[in-house]
Amino acid sequence: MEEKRITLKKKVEEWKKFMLENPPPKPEFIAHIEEWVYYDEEYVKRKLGALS
Amino acid sequence: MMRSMLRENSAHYPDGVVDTCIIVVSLFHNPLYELAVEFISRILAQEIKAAIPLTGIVGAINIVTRYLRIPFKEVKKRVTKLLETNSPAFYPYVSITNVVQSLDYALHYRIKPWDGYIVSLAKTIGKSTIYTFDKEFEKVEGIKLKNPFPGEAMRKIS
Repeated sequence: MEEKRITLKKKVEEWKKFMLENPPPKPEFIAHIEEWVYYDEEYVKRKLGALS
Repeated sequence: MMRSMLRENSAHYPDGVVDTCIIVVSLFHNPLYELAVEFISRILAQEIKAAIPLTGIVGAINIVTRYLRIPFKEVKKRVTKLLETNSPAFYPYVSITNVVQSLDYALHYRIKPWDGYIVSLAKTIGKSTIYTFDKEFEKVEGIKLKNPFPGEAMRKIS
């Protein structure tokens, strides 16, 4: 149990180190939360089979 | 399979359920990024005993690639490393009951079905607590909302 906990902690620390040392890209065109509900008509049409 | 083996009760996730938006801000450059990484690392290490639904991770991938145009290859690399921690915080199950409830909540509170799903999970496995900064959940009665980020940080993105 203790061994599992130590292994998990080590893996999480490795993930955290990777994330902090490698910042992700900036968004291409929007950054405000309110705009995240942006309606993508093409996506919706494709899901409806309207575009092939 | 026994319910306890499926971790389908609040004993395993007494601190709550993590909403998709928390994962989203850990996948692109923004003022909450480092705070999100720190918060998620505490959950992964089980210092905070909350559930991260795998469905929420898939939802986050969709949001950052489609709406924020973050390259899929970049997102894949980050999500894969996240999942490779193999943390017990990851909640992999989708039950029919939770999906039906998500629709009930969506209809009743006029929220999105995927938000209804988070509500349903929180009520089932997370002591009715949701970690989120999405104010949409304020419409829902009987749940506790916890924003892991300080107000000062939130003001930077709004």
